[in-house]
Amino acid sequence: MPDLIHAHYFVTMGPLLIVTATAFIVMVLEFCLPRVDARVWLGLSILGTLAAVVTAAVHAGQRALTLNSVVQDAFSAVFSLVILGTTLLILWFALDFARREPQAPKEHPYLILFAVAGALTMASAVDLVTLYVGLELLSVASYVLVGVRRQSARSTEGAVKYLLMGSIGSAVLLYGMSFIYGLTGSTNLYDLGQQGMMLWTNYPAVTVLAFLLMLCGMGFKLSLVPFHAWTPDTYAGAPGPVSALLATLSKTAGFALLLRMLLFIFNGAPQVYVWAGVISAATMVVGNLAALPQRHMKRMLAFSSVAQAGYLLVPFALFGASGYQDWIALFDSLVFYLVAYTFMTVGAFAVIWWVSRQTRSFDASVLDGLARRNPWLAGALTVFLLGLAGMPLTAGFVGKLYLLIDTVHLHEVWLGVLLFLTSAVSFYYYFGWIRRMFQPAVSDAELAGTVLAADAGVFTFGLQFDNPPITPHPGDEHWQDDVEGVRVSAAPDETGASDQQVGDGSAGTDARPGIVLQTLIAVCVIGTLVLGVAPAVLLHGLWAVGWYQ
Amino acid sequence: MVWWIPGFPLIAFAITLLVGRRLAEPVVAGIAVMATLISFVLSTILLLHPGTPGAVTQLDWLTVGQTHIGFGMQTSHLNALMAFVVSLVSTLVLLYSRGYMAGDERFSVYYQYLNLFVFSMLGLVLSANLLELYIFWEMVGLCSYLLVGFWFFKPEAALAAKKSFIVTRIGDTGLFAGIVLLWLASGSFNFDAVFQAAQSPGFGLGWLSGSGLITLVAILVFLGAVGKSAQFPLHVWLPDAMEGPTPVSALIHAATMVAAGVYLVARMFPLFALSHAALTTVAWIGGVTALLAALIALTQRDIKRVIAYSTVSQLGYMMMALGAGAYAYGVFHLFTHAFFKALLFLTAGSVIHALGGEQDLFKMGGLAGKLPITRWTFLAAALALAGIFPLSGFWSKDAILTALLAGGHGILYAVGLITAFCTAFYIFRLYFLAFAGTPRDEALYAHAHEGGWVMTVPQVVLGVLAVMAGWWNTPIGGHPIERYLLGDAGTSFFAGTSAGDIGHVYPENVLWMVISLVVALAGIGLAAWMYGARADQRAAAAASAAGPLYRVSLRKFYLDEIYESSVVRAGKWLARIADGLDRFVIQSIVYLASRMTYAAGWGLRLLQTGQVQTYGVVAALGLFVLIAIAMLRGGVM
Repeated sequence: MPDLIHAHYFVTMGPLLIVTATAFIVMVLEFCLPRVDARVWLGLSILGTLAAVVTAAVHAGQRALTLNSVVQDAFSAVFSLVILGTTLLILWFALDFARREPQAPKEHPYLILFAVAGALTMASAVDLVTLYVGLELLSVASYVLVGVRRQSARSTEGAVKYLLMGSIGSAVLLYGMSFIYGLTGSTNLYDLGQQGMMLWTNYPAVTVLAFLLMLCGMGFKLSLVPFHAWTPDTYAGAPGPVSALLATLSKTAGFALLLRMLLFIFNGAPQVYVWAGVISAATMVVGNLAALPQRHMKRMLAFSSVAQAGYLLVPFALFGASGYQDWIALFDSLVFYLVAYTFMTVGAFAVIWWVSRQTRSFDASVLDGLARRNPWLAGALTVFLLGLAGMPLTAGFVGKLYLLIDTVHLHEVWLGVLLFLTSAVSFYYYFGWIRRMFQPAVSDAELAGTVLAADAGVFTFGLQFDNPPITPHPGDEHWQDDVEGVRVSAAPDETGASDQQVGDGSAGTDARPGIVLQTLIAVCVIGTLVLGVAPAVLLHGLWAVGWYQ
Repeated sequence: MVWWIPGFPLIAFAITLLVGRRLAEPVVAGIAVMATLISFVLSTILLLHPGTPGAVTQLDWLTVGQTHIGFGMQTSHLNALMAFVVSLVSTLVLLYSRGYMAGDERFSVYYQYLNLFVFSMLGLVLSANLLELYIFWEMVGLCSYLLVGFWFFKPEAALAAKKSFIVTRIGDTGLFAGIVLLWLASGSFNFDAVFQAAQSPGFGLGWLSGSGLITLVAILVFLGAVGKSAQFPLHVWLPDAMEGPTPVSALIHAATMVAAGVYLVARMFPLFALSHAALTTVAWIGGVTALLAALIALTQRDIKRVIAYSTVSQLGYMMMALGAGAYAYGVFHLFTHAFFKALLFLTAGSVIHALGGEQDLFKMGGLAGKLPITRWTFLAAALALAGIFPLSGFWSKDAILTALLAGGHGILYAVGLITAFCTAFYIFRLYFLAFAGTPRDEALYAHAHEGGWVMTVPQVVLGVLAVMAGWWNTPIGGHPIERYLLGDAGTSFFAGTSAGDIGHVYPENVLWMVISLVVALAGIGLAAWMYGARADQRAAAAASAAGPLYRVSLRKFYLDEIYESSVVRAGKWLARIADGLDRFVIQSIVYLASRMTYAAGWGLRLLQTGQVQTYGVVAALGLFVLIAIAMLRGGVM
């Protein structure tokens, strides 16, 4: 009998098995020992995830195929590592969450782990059925996670909306898969890859239909336009770490699945990828525009993540236009942007969660003067926002730059131009927050100094906003409109900008985040800046992986 | 180890940036000086053990298509010498600043900027590729801007900061264009790859032939040097930049940053060596600058402006040497000049400090007794600048003149000789006005005193260097610096060159040495006669006798006025037109666009009803429309 560690299924499914085992252990122990603090289970989960990371890293160079349905190749190695890294960030976030909100349900840890198991399956399966099972595992766990706070109406509402829309997405995706199965009689991606050319030449119409159905089906899960409408309600209703999980981990897994599925099945039909471009364009435009008037911080981050999904879809539009050699650059750009996006988004959600907990409001006005109350937190959020907007010296800039270079290189310049223009729009709402944080912090004396400096032409970094008021001055009439606007047009049960999530009255006195949250934010800041200043840290690693080996 | 040379000033910058405001002045200065001192020690080790010239330690930084851009450090004899000079002068100036800037309310900010500058400058001279060099090039420009405008509440300082930044930016544009052209033609930013490509027969770009492209690129790169090193016609910013604190003038506008242009030409020398036209341009621009600035310096009344024009003139000297092919001599003069010119500024700063901010030469006088250390160190620097045997300036200046004459540049030799005469005259005019005779303003004189040890120690150290720095390249020792510098030839630092390409070396000629010495002494003698203790009204008589010539020099050849009435006025008209366009056409379009964008955002909220039924309908409609279009168009768009 071969030893377990070196068996080929441990190479392909090692991290998956470890994560699943941890999930079951935590579930059983939590049931048996109900009085133990949730943080113990989170700690156990983190240990399990660390073991999975080690396993994934050790096996990263090996190649194996198990049962013709789960594979260990460069692709699954890279995405598994990204997913597991994201998991660590989110579990770390949940650790602080559990400390601050001890009355929160304890299902948290093992549900997160089941979601991760699904995500790992999506990254490494090569059979449509297995991929779908992974997707459903992730989805079902996420539905429950969003609604885990049973006493909160917002939470339940978000869960129900997510469930309904997610189910429609699954149905559409399955419908598309069924066409492929009908035409080829196979669900194995390697078989389907062989028949890619045949599909397009013999059944062009059905192929396009299947492509669109599969893309749109995943579009529901990845919150692409026009299937994104659930996103703000769900993110707003979910607990902080779960919002971060939905925005990062489930997107990473979704893009991994979409990438493998489309590239294998439609490798003979370069023309169909243009539809990914269309959806990407719509997502970039609508996501950024819809984020403009948002005053609820989590809803704005939700729309921002819709827009970011549009950027992430850009490489998909380019696969049709390029040969295998150029795909390497596209893989690199996609993974780079995903990692950058993960750092920035988890960090932003963590800061927002903290600030809204302190002030018991999700309205953007609570950011006013944050730079004075807590300069480090304001600085960190500034880094994340600048990164999401795509300012140089942050990871977001480098990520967007690579996407832009790809579009120019592969002659799909219109997508690049749109990427650029919509990013310019996004500056408006990201900088609105930054202005909120820093503006009122300026004392009169300092302000006078600044004005002098500006007059003298020394060191002015100002951005002139003389158009509509996203951050109006008090007394400006638009201010009133804005607040009213939030009331009438947001989700039905949304009462202004306050939220029930923020727990009992004990909050508010503790002005400094705990060490756990501080390290999380610090790690995200460092990630954002290091990838922005020295992108080769990651790119060199990706280059060393060698996608086609 | 090389990484730590710019690394320590960067750490000091980070510390002063983060907590500088809360620290006491001695602590801030102490951190900065210690960091630079460590850099200096490391630079000295590097100078003594430079290893293989051209060795690069770099990290992958960016990958664009097939181009891998690194970020790293390159060592060579030239770079080691530059790092040595920069870190040495920086250490002394940072120490001196502790006294000069004491009590300034933005003391820690000042040290922040200076630390950032030292980091950028050391990064610049150790850069491993052109793009990295350009980044540091802009960073030193930014630091210069911040420091010239450090007292931004003075309108002249703010204006001077703007002027220095804009004028050098003109040159930087040329440099950037040159770098981009080189990248397009060679596909690399690395120096050795660029040099090798330039020497290959297939070099060229589109309709530009190899030699045409080399000349174009060399002149574009030189344009960058013209801006940074204040060469004619972009020299106008440097005298104005004297509005900054005097230690800044000593460090940035005398010893290091302005010499970066000279370093750039030296660094790119294999490229220049391939183009006779480019070398000739460099030599003549250098010659014109040297003479013009020396003539202007004859009549200026502001102590710092005289020295500033002297800097411009001496930088022209270095350019002249490089243009004549005497690579090692140009760099040697950079080396000696850094010490005596920094010293001139520090002593001038000491005088200004002693007189409570007075800079007018004609209100000074008789300070020799009050400021003995300053007087003697100034005298050493002045003698070195004038080129008196055996001080440092004599050796480097004489080497350049020898190279010009022996290299067959007769006219440039004459220019150099006249410049040498003027140099000796104006610097001793300054000396006699400030230190000799009787005080012209008793009130100021009464309060004059030396600064503390932090100010005098750097002066003395630099004074010793001003006397002795030249001895490292005398014929007696067998020209050690020359041999050291020429060790770079033929290595990967200067890929594809031989020693003959970069170093025309000429033996000393005692007759020519005597000639230049006599010329310098004549200049000093004339200054003594006109401005010495018993001069009476000879200077005024000479000025009125010279008449219009005197006014031309005093008004700096009317160059500022010419620029004002041509370039600046045309620019203002253009700006007015652009402003009108912007205000009435573009701004309204932008306003409309932003309004529409915002309105679209609001419109989209109507879809966000909160009803999951609506979400489903929108999604289904979207899917349906997409499929319908795809089917109608046969799958392609």
